[in-house]
Amino acid sequence: MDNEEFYIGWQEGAFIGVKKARKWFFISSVLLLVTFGVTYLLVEEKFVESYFDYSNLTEIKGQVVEYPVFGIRTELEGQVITVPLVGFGKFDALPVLNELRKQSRGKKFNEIEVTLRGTLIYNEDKVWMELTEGMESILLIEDRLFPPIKIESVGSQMISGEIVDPKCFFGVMNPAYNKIHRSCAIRCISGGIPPVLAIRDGQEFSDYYFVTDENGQPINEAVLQFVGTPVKLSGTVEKVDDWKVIKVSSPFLSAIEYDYTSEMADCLSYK
Amino acid sequence: MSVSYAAILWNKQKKVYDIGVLIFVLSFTVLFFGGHAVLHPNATFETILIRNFGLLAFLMLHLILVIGPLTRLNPKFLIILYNRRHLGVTMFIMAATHGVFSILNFHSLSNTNPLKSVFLSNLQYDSLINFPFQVLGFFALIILALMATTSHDFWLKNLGPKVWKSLHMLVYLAYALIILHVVLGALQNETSPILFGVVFFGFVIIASLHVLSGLKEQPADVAIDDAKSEFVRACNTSEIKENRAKIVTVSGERVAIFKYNGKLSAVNNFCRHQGGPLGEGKIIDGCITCPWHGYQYRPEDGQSPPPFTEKVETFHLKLEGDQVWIDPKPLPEGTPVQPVTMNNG
Repeated sequence: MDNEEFYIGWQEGAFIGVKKARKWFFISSVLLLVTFGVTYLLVEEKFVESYFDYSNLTEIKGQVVEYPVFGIRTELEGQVITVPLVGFGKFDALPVLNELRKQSRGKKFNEIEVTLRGTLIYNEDKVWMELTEGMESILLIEDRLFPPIKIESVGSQMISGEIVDPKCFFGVMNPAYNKIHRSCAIRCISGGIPPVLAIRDGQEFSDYYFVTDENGQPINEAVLQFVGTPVKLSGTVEKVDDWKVIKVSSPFLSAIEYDYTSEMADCLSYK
Repeated sequence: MSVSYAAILWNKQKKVYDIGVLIFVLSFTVLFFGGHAVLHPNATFETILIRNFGLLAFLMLHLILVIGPLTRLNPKFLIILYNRRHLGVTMFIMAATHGVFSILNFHSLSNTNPLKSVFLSNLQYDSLINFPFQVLGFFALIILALMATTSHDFWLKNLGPKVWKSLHMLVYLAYALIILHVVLGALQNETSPILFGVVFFGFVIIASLHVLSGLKEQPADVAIDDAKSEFVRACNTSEIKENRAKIVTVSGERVAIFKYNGKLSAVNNFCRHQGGPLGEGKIIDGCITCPWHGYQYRPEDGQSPPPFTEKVETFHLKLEGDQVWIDPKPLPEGTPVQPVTMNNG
C-alpha cells in the first residue's frame, strides 16, 4: 500500500503536510507583504499641504484681472491677493471671462466689482479657485472703481525649476509634480490652465512664477514638452501683487532648456 | 473535472483559499488607508486608492509567479497552485482598479479622449528616463485582462491547452512591462533607495526560484533518442517508484513512464487541462492523476475515464531484464497500448 501524500484539489480534505504548506505560505506572504506595506508607508515621499475644497462652494468678491492670468483680486486676512481662476476639469475659465466681458456692458474690469462662486484650491502659499459651475459662477456685478494694479519689473533672470499645472499642484491632486504627474499636467496645460514654474528649495517648493511669452501672452502649447521635468528658463521677471511672472524671451525654444544638471543630480542622489 | 460548462465548481479547498485571499486584500487595504491617515494625512483619497491597488496587484503578481517554481521544488505547495487562477483574477481586479482610476484621474475631463491621452500626452518615446510609463502599464493590463477573461476551463477547452498555455505564459511579458512601469513611473517620485531595493529583491526571488526549478527539471529534458531511433533505453525499473513515474524526453516531448501493479505504461507528460506535468502525478484508483488539478487518465490508453473526454498520446514500451525501453514515436491520443508486465512485479 502506498501511503505517500498526494494532494488532489477536488477532494474535500487535504493531508496535514500540504495544509501546513498552505498555512506556511499564507503566513509568510502576509508577514512579508505587511512588512513591505509598513516600510512603504514609512519611506514614502512626504505629501505637501494642499487642499481641494471639494463639494464646498465659496464666494469671493473683488476685481477681475486678466494679467498675468484670469483671476480675481481680493482681500484675504488683511492682504490683497490675486486668486487665479480655472475651469472645471482640465480646462481654463476663459468662457467665464468672456461672459464677464459681456455682462460688464463696456465697462473696464477696474470699474466693476464681481462676486464669483467656486471651489477653493489652496496650499500654505497660494489660493486658486475652480469655477465649478461655469457661467453660474457669476453671482453679482456691481460698480466700483479700483486703483490700477502695480506691476514691478525685477529684471532679467535665469531660473531653474519645474513647469507644473497649478490646478493640480496647488491642491486638486497630491502629489502633482515630477514625471509621475507629467501626462496629467500636459492635459491641464493644453486645456488652457496657465503653466507655473515651481522652484524647489531642497525638498520643499518655495517660489512660483507664471510663465508667459515676452509679451505676457500664454505659451501653453510651447511648454508642453518641458512639463514635469527640470528646466532652466531665462527671461524678464515681473511682480504683480503676490505673484511673479517670467516672460520668456523669444524664440521660445532657445530660451527654455532641460536642466540636465538637475536631472543628473536627481538620478545620482535620489534628489 | 467537468464535462459541461459550470461557472466555478466550488469545494472546501477553493473556499478556504479564496477566503484567505479576501482577508489579505481587505487587511492590506485597511492598513494602507489607515497608515496614510496617520502618517500622510495630506495625501488625497484618489492617490491612496491608486497606490493601494497598484501595490496590491504588484505584490500579488510576485506571489503568483513564485507558486509555479515552488511546487516543482516541493510538491506540498501544490495546494497553493490548485486555485492559482482565483489569485490571478483577484490580482487582475486590483490592477484594473489601479489602471481605471489612474486613467480617470490623470486623463479624463480633458480636451482629449482619455485612452488617446495615455498614448499621446507624453511623447518622449525616445527617452529612457522620460519614457511614457503609463503606456507600459496599459499593455500589461491588456495582457492581464486577456488572461483573466480566458482563465475559465471553457476557454481552455475552446482554445486548446497549448494555445491557452502560450497565452498564459504572457504573464512573464506582463511582469517585465510592470517592472518597467514601476521603475520609470512611481519610483521616479520616491527618494528612498529602499523601494528600488525591494523591487530588485522581488525580481531576484522570482528569477532565482525559476532557475532552481529549471535546474531540477533539466535532467529530464535531455533527449534520450535521435531521429532514427526505434526503441531507446529510458531507465531502470528500480528508478520508478510504485504508482509514480519517471519523466524522459523523446521526440522533443516529455513522456511519463508509470509503474503500477507490476506493470509499466507511458503517456505524454502534458496534461490536456492546463499542461500540468502528469509525470509528477500519481496513480490513484487505477488512473494517472495530474498533480495540478487532479485530471485523470487511464495509463493503458491515455484516456480520461468516462464521462470525461480528455486524451493524451501513448507510447510503446518494452523490458529487457530490468531495463525499460521506449519507442519514441508517439501514438495518437487515446490509443490503447498493452502495459508491459514486470516479471518480478
